[in-house]
Amino acid sequence: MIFNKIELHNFRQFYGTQEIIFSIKDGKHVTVIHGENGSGKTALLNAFNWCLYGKTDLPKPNDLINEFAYSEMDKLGKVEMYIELEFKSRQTEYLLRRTLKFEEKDKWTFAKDTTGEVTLKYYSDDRYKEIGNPSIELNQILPENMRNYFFFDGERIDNLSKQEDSLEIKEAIKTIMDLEVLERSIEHTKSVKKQFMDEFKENTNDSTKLVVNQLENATSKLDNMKVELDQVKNNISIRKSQKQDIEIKLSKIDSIAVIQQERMELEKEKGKSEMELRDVSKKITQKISKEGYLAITRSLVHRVSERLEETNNTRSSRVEVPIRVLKTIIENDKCICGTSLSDGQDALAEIKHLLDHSSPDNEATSYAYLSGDNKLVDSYRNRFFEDLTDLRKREANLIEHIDDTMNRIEEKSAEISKRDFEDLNGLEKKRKTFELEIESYQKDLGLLENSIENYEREIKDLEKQLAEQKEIESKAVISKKRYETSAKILDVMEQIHIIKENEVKVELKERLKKVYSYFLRKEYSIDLSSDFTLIVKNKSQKKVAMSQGERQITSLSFIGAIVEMAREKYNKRSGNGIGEGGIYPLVMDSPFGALDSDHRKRVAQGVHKLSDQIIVILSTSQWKGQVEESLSNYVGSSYTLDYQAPMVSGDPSFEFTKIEVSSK
Amino acid sequence: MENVNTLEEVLMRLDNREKKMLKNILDLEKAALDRNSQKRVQIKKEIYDVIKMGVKSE
Repeated sequence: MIFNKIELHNFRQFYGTQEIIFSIKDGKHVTVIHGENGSGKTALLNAFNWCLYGKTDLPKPNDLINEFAYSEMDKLGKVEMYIELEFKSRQTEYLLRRTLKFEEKDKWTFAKDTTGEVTLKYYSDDRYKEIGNPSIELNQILPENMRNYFFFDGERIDNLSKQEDSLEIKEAIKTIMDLEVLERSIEHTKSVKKQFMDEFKENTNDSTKLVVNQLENATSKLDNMKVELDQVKNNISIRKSQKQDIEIKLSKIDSIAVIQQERMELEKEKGKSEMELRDVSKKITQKISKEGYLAITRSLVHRVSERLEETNNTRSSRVEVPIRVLKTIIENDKCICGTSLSDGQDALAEIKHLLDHSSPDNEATSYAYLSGDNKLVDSYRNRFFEDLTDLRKREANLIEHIDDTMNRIEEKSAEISKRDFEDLNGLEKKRKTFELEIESYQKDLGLLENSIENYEREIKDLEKQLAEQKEIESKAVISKKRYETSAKILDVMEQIHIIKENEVKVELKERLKKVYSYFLRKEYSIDLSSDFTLIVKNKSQKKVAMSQGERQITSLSFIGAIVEMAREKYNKRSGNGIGEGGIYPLVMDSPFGALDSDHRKRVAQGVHKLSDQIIVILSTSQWKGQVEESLSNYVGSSYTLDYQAPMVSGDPSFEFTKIEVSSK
Repeated sequence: MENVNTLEEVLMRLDNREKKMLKNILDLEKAALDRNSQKRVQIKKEIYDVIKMGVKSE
């Protein structure tokens, strides 16, 4: 998405119709808009937001129309305001206009609903054609939940590294990297698969119908549980992060810093032991399910051994002739007792009978093998018990250690609670609440994981049963094949999604680190966790509480890394429709406001590289000096918001802003 | 560490006919994203047809 033009009509300070044409020239892709305090910089940033999503972050959101224009209603009977945006997205030109209309009867009752009317058109066959679902289309072009990052308010930007934003980050990555196509395909193929299953059911017998119903039931329960599992996991991450934030705050209170540090160490140790315990418990379960049968082999081994002994004793009274001896006798036509076999038919028949009933290994060998195997079973059984005892011991030790650590944590907590410090009790209480919530979520998680495992097993069994159904009507055969094919394709789509999401995550991590180290002076490192949380750590790998400027740089680095990566993917796109990225703009209001001079210089030097279109709205004092030096070479167009003080030519008087092409 | 297959490994699970169906479905979805709301409404029917035509007889 690249903006060509914005037209403002009676919006906030902007009276009448005024426009800004954005620079899209290669190498001159920065548009600078200068404005002093109160001239409408933030209003301009919000004009993008309002036009695209019908929302603003302005202090009086219902008060969008220009006061001067509104006052003209007496004369005109009605008045309107609108914002029009001309932009290009994935080779298509769009024209978007959002309008609010006021009539005489509404006078002085400013619109409660400021969403307005929206029309979105795209250019095709030499004309603009209107789009039926503008909000859906716009959300696909630039997702609404990311508006604060693309329309970046330097003075209000919040901390992107908060856990609560991890879902937003995930969504943004998905949309911007163009995984939407794949996700929609998965969703739709799922319902098509169900349709084939229904067709199959219609044409089949009652017993098969029963299996299909059970299968459908189990699949739908499994799907619901997976959604629930994701929610519980997300809740755990949020609470953990909130708890961690409180712990960082506590470690900054001098009087308890040491105890808090010790408590954090103990928490870490507890976490490690809990992980180890989970591992040991898993090993115990696996051992029992794989080798548990050995536990009941004792009497069986004993009985086999007795029987073998008995057989061996009986066998010793018989003489067994080896096969090769019998074969030689037949070849020689003569028995070892001298009887000629050709003469005596009975003798030959007897030898042949012996040959037919001899095993390659004679009884003695078989006895040896069986006794050996029987003893081996016994030794496996002993080893199974030894291993299990060891694992159980480790499990008990770990449980004891965790209990002990928990007691020590409790002691530290009690010590902290005793200290007298403003806010301390509040922080401790919150910490405890989060801790209890985490415990409760973890219990839910365990139960859900178990149920999911059971349902997955049940589904596999039912699918096997279904595959074995023999009496299927010929009509049903084809539906079943179609169902199986859609299931196979669906499975591959889901795998591709995992691969693509992983690819994006790995690449984004690297890019983020690069941009961050370039922008930020301190030796902080940034990481993207497996659940898409941004984690900023200091040199000693501890999570840090950031200043406003550092938060701003973190947010800018994140969005910059995504925009840069999406652009690269778009330029290298293969045309297969999966994860092809796109071009995105960055619109920034006062991006350098909270930065010190060194950080200002670093950001100014690097920001033009992040996107194919940069629109910067800032005051002259922010522009002058390092920012101007670093950015002016890339500026393609420049405007000034010229603030006009209230007119005294009559009553009432109104202030307004004129947008002028600037020579700066 | 989660064991993730490569794209090639995953695609190998499909035969040529199934690969073609997968490509058709993705193309349809891509087209449906392109503002044509009519296609959007029909997308499930279109995917249904892709598989129906792809798996015709014995």
